[in-house]
Amino acid sequence: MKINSLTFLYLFLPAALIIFNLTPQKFKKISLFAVSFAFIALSQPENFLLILADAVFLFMLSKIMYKKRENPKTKKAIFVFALVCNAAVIIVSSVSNQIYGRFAPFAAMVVSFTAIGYFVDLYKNETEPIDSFFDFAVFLAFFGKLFRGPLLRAKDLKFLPNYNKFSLSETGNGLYYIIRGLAKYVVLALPLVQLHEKLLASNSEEISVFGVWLDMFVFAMMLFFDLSGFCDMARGLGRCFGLDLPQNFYFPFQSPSVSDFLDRFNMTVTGFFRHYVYDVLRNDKNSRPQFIVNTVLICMLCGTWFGIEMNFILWGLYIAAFIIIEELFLGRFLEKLPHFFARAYTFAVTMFSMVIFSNSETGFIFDSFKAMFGINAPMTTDGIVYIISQNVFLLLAGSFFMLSAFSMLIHYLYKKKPALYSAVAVLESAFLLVLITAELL
Amino acid sequence: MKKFAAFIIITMVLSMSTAALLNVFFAESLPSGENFLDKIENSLSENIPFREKLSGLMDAVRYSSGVRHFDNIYIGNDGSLLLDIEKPTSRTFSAAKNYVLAFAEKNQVKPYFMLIPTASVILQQELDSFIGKDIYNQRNMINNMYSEFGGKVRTTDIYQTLYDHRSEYIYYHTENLPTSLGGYYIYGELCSRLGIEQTPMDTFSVAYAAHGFYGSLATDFFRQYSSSDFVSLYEYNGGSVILERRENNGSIKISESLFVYNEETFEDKTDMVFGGISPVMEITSAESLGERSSILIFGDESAKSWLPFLSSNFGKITFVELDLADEKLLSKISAADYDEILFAYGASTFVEGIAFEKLEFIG
Repeated sequence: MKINSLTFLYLFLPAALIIFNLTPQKFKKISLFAVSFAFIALSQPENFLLILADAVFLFMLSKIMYKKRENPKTKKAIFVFALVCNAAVIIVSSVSNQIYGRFAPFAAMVVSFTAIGYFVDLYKNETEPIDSFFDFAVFLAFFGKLFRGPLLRAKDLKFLPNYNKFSLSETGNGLYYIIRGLAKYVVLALPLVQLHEKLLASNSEEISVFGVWLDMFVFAMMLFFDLSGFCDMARGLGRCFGLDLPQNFYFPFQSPSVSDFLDRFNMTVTGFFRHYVYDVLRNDKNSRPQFIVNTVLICMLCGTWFGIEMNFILWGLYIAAFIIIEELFLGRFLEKLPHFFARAYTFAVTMFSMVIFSNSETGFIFDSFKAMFGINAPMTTDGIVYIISQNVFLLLAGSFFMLSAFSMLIHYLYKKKPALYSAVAVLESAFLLVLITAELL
Repeated sequence: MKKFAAFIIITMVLSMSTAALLNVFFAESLPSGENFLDKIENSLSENIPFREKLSGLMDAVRYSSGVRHFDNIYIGNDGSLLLDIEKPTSRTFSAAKNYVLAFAEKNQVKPYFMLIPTASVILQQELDSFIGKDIYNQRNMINNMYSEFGGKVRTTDIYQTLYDHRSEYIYYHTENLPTSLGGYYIYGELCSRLGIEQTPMDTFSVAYAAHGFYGSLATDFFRQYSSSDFVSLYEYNGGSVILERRENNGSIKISESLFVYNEETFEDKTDMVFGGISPVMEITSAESLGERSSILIFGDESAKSWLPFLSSNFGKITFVELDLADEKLLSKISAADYDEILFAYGASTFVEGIAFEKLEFIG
């Protein structure tokens, strides 16, 4: 069962909601655990036992480590053991992702990264141990966040107030998020994948300046709607089942600087590496060479979140290079520029970064960079014009929703005109539900 | 969010879910699928309320944004639905070559071979100029197939003839077949290749039927953007014919016309010609114009367009649909009984693969 399926939307989700809300209050967390692992069993049966055993094993390990907190050597040994185990799972998952051609983390990787964070926090006494196995299993493997995150730290595991009582508003709000997220993925991201493939084929036949720029723009939109769509769904599912999950994307492609881009793109992952790597490595002097080394490390790790592959690591290095340049001198210059130019600069830099992100072949990267600079390539081709003519709505809708205008309007209504916001939310949900259902048929 | 709004959103999802579930529950059986969850998904998809309207919705949105290409069908400016074909596999080529050449050698004949291009390449003027590159190049495919035979088969190139007449009604708008008029031009080219005289058009009386019909390409969504069709039936005035349709179960239907004028009988209106294609059909005419008396033809549905004209040239025509005919029926046919042998297929049928291996059953 896929999350983007009629079975999930009209069968699993309503059934899970009914079961969860009918469960007596004191068993709510068990019910949430059951729903999460039932989803894993149905969507990834081959990984079900692995994730369940992983959760049991890590829970026991965390308990032992906490018990041995007075014995630094034993505590450290358990800590290192836990890190090695989780790192091994990440590497194996990443390799299997490469074999099966996926670029996004799934399940085992999300679980292991979450566990690493938890063990570090526990080791540094920055968090209290999670006492209940069911809470721990939900923290590691809540089904909504298993696809693309957000990446939770123990302090981020927040149950909504009165989570164990049915809340009409929270459930409605959750469904609204789920529908929006699913629409991002089904109505925008999936058609954008097809469009990207067409553009790629057209460019490989006859490369052009506009063709490559458009392809990278489409790839960026695809990435954004894919990742943020799943994260919206995760937040929505969280709301429906009593969890308050953090936001993971905040319109990264309209950032005024590359540093800002990294802060808005996959926020919880960036925050995770920043907390566990950057802050650990930073000393009081906070010297420039150290800033450079730390930034490079953080960005490379942010790249490896998508898989341990050369292009993702190169992408991280590329982003790091611009963050460093901005820190050294460009940032001060950008601040003086009108916002539009700063955003145009960031947009251009991130579009170039998509060339590296989307493909690991050096020939492709080199040819695409040349074409984007207009070297030995015509402005456009008939093929590109045709592809645009066939995808006008998709390109317009994608461009519009990649920017924050609509979201700001909704936010304004939410704050100032709650009744109107509710009406818009209902209409939007109905419209999107029809579109999603039509696409999933 | 206001509680009332939340209530409506929850109700929407739950009511869609309940309606879909009820439909699935009352469905006669679960559709096929790899596993139980696939079956459930397929069943939900088939039984979702307002399925027809929903399935056309996204396509309608795309159409209004300028999209004219849906799966492998292009919508032409004149309302033609142009079916693009897939690139054939090398196996398709080699199977055609090997079986046809083996058949020719076994029977010591030099057969004729004709591939008929589909409307998607001939009527490209109905598409925006950019699209041309997207459509599979059938001309190259046909030339490649012809060159595979290495001169051991007499090939017939009808591409240019059809292209020259592209502004006429030579293909149905909503069916992937040439019309009778298109068939007449194919017949003309075939005559010159066979070295026989083409029967003039005015020797045929034309009846028009089934006005406003939509063919198999026009699903509910396409129907609103496509032009309807009609069938023209060219009855030969120069003499009477007898059509014998043989089925695999041994039944034989005999009629004194190549056409069935009662259009209500057929869901596919192009079946008014011959009453549809049978595994084996034999057309005999007492007053043949032609100098040769018999021809054995292996072909497909596209024969509905051009085969009726050929009856004016041959005393006996046996038409075989290899995909439909079984061994028993085929074994009753002997290639030695015929003066000429012709293989004639539409390009779209050809790329899907023809059961040429059944040629071995021909006596």
